[in-house]
Amino acid sequence: MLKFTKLIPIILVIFATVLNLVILFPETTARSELNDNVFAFVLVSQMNNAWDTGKCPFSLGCLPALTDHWVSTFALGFPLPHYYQHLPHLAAVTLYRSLSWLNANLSLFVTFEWFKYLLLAVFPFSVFWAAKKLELPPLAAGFSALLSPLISTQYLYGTDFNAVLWRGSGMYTQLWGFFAAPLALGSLYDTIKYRRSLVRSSLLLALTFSGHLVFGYIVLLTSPLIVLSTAFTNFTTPKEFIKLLFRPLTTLVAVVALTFALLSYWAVPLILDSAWHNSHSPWDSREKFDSYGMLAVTQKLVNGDLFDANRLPVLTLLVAVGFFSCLFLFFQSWESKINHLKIPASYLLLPLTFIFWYFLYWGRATWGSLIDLLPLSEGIHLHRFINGLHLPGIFLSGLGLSLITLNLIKAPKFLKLPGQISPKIVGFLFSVTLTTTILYPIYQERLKYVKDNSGLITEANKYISQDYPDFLKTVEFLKQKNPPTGGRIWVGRPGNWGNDFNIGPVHAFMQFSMSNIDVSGFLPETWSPNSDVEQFFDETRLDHYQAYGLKTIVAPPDREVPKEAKKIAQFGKFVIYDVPEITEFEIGSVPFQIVSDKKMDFSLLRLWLLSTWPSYHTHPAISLTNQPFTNSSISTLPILRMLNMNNYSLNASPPTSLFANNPFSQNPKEATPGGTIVSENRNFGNYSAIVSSQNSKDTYIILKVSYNPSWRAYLDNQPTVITPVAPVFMAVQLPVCTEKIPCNHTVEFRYEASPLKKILLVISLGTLITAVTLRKRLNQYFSS
Amino acid sequence: MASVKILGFRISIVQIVFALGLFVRVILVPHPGFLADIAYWKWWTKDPAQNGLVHTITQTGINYPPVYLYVMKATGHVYSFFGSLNDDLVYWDKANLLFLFLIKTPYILADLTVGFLIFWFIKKNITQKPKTENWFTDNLALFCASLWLFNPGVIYDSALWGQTDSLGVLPILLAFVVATRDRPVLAGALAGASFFLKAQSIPLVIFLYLYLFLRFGPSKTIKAAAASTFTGITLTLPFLLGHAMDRIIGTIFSSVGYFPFASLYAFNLWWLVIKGVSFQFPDQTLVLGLLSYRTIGFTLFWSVFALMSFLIWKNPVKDKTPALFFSASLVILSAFLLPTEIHERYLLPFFAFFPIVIGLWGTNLQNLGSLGKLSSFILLSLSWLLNLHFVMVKNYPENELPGLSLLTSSMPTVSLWLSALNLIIFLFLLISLFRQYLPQRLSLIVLIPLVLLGIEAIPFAVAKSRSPILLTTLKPSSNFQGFGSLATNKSVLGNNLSTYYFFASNGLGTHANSQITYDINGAYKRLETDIGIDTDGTDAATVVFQIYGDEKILANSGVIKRWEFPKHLVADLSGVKKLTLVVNDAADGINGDHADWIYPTLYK
Repeated sequence: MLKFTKLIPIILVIFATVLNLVILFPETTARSELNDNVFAFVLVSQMNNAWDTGKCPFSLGCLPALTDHWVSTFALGFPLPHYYQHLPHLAAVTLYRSLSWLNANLSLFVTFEWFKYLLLAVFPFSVFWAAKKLELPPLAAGFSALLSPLISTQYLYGTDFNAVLWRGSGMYTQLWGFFAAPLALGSLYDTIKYRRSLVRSSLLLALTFSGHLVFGYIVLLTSPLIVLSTAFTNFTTPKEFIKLLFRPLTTLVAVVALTFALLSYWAVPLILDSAWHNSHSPWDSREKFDSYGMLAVTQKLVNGDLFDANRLPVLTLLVAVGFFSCLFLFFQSWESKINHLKIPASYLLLPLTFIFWYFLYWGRATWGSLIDLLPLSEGIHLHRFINGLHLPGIFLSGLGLSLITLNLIKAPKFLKLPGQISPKIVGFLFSVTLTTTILYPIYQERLKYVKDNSGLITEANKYISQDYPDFLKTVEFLKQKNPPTGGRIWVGRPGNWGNDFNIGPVHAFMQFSMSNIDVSGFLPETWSPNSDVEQFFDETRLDHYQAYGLKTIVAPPDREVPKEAKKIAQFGKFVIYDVPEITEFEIGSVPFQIVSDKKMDFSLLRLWLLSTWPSYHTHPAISLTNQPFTNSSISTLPILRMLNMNNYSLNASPPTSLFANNPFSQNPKEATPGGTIVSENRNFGNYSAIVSSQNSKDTYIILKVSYNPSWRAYLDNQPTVITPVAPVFMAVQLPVCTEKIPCNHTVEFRYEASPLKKILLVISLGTLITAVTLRKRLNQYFSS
Repeated sequence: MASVKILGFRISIVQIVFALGLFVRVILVPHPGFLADIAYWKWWTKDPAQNGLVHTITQTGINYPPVYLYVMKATGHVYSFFGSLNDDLVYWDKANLLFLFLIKTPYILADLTVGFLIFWFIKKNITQKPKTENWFTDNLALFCASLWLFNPGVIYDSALWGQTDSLGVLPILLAFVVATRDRPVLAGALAGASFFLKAQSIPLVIFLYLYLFLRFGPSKTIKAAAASTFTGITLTLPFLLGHAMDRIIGTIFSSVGYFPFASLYAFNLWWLVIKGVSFQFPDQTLVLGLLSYRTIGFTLFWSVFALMSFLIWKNPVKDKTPALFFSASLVILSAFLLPTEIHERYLLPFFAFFPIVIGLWGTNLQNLGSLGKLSSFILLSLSWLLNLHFVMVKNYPENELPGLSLLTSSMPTVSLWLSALNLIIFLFLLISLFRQYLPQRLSLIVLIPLVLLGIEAIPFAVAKSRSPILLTTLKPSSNFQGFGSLATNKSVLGNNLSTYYFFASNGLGTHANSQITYDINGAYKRLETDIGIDTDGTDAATVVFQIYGDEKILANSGVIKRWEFPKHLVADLSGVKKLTLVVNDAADGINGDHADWIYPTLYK
């Protein structure tokens, strides 16, 4: 019986995992992605391309290519890995490349689907390990693991199936957050309390950040609470408390420093180049950035919506039981000097963490600008702080259920049972029955949710199969058509007919992007500085096709297109049109400079797009760093400084409104400089053209691709300065042709990891190798 | 305890006193009460009895916490046993005696129970002390219970008006009583019940927890908190199962701001400030153009609360019970006198708590402080009675009482004197408490309210000294609009500000017909702003934006429609003291008229 009791926690973890494997299996049968996982798969796919271009794995260029490459697929391109967590995509590609040796027929998509499935299925193991590290009793650890996949929310982006499954939000990187955050929290607790396994904790914290930035942030902000809880366990007087804080604090500082060193290759460029990352799209709902406020969060919590959407609030009640039990047991032990330290510091840590994140989850909606005291909080999606509640909530619910169960086991002692009946067995059966009863509504709801998910996948697969042959032919045709001539495709967007133009249930603009076709107007990707204004692309204006380099239209048969567009093919419902004379490069002029920060340029750039200026190829230079240009050709131009989203000052004149004095209301004063694009070429982060300019000064060659400081430009094979121009494209000044200087030039733009990035990669990699190799010595040093 | 023989039965004085207390209430039951309240009770009695609790909380707009609904529902069922809830003529008749009897009975019983609790508690405390020869001291418990039982205001509130307040007092008073008698968990459970019975008891619940923590330490306080939580869960189980807890929480939290006015007929600081001119005087009105009445009121109240908490924590007296009840009484009194949005009835708990304070000091009646406390109690009781009666007669003049009619006619002036009297009594009691418990070296903490108000005012003072400044950094002295509430830096629906998808990070989101007024006292020369219909508005939306300075129109946008670019308005503010931003509906109704003032900027 004793041995069996010891096995119970393991049985619970295995049960939770096996159940996950069974009920989530239909996830592997999906033929396409539906939601955020489209975005995720595109990144995996681009990472797979980077593997080839970086000549991985045995090349010096491999790591820079994998950790920082150009993703051209949507929003005029953006180097997502430069800013966005990329380890999850790299892991999927590494797995795919490894398995491809064994099975050459394996597809990247299938690998991706299986990888997600397995990662989600084994989530209980992560929780179980973390619970043990948090010094929870075995049964509580087992129950925490059992309950971990059972949280239910209604699109709140928490630690629940809804956030990651096919029918939910499909957030692949958040799945990494699920998995890594408990590990990091448990390990940090172990390290801070016992001053051991410093390297492991740093690696796990780095893994959590690399998996999902917000989850890493949550664990990092929780870590001072570990210090407080640990110190408070031995608290006697306030003076003593300050001393007690010192040792755990130094350990935490060491862990954070090591983590930062491991992540420096990503973190430093992310911060330095943040001006060119659109972190505040106005198209996003306010709740994303501000969260819901005190009243709404409290209502959601008390109503059961944070843990138990669409069912009885059983998990919420278990969290409440765990919360109060932990605090009571901790302080009871703390008050009684005899039982002092009998209860671990985690019993204080978990409720504190829950309260802490409950307050933070109120967000800017309640705290206003006070929330900006948190590091990096301005760009963080505060509504994801729900995960700060779910993380301790999982352990608290496990503790709550274990306490209920243990008390139920003891209950028969108070009954007068006949001698031949063992109270232990009766107690065990009693507790199993009641625990099952308690959990019944949870499983009932979860199984229904997953069953519906499976049904929807099956249905979607059926519809995808109907459209897929024609779609594949279209993709094949486009891949043959576009390179080397360049250009993106216009296939609608969510705000117009694109919303109804689908492959099965998947929007066409998403499905095309998954097939590595560069599309326009994919709003879910708001990272590029072009993505917000791109939504105002007017499909009736030919100059807008030229402005965005949209060479091809794919539309349903009943769709009207500009009369200049020529139908070149049709595959079922996919009609392909060519828009003649559209190029990704153009010859243009730069009449003045815009100085703004990235949150103020929206209306100005929209007015530019709506004006006649794009048809004149006239693009003001734009600096989103709030600093004027220093390069000689631009620095002498007039400065239009944005003061906020609506008001500006021209050459330090008094402020005026864009709507009182629209700077683009008249046609540009200067005529479009003459010149032609002789030819152009593009290949994964590399765009080149041969241009012929006429004999005029201030002529620029403009590439209609998002600017980023990591781009390098070469004019006739010589490095040259790139000027970001409106909306946020790239321009290079062409020299005035003379007898000595020819009028024909070769221009090349290459996306490359910067030298700083490469140095930081060496530091990060060096730190990783050193830390892993010398981990025992390091740990010894810190524990001494 | 003395007794008398009546018709052969030996009856104690206590029984006589309580019977008298019951009698004076029962004879008032047929009074139709405060008709609006009684009409609501009828609705909220009939609905849960016929449609269930969840229906009532979600469909009737009830703004009372859930536990009271049980009383209503029970009343409905009992009523339907004797009569018909669907017989509208009888049921809605204001003289429906059966209903009046059933609805007032719980309040009357609560009155008597509270009286007994005061009696029992003081008696228990006195018996622990050495007996004296003083007759008065012997009968002190009964005397203090009588202060409650025969308090004219209490009788008026429960038996005549038909209000629920004494029902709300019962659990929180009981919680305090059991807390002082070493039952923290029970106190916690009662506090939980109180939270879901009367939102106004929340400050007292917090205060109680402070006491529990100081007296019993963290683990027992946590046990008490768990008891509160699980009592709350138990009491709200039907709503929890019916997925209606969001509405319950909304009901409790929305009690602040529900009526955003300076004083809801409470004779308090704000009634005095507004000179009793109106029930609907906005509490967003600014003092010195910096802080609103509401901010000042709540700062003053929470400062007093903090001082009371500090006293409980730091007072050197070993027996904290008298200090606890005294401080709690002052928390109640300050909650009535200092914040805005206070109803006249909210003083009732004071008359339950303060007799205990008098009782605990009563053994030493020669002490001038005790006499002072007793006199304060009596004066406050009379003042409060007049306050209640004033409100009753103002709404239902037919309820004028012969003896009070003369006073009522001069009540607008008398009410100001009574407000001042209430404040003086409060200060007297506060000083009395400080003198008794506040260590002299810490006496400077009484400056806390001033410091807090100063800190709150600094950002606005700094903003006012700058140019240009965004109007959103100043507080309007008043505002009203036809739908929703004024939103800063977001649309009236809470989304990003945008006009025809031109997004903006700063501005005012409002809705026609709207009027937002600022006291600018001639400090600015010009206002520049963009304007437009928010993208949230409907296609048919049309509005006119106007800028007024001291009632004169300074700028007019003409009719603006939904899908138009933002427009720019400029107004010359030279010499303007009162700036008013107006959005009207362009004479075609306010439907969908979501209007934005975008980057409104003042220049000096």
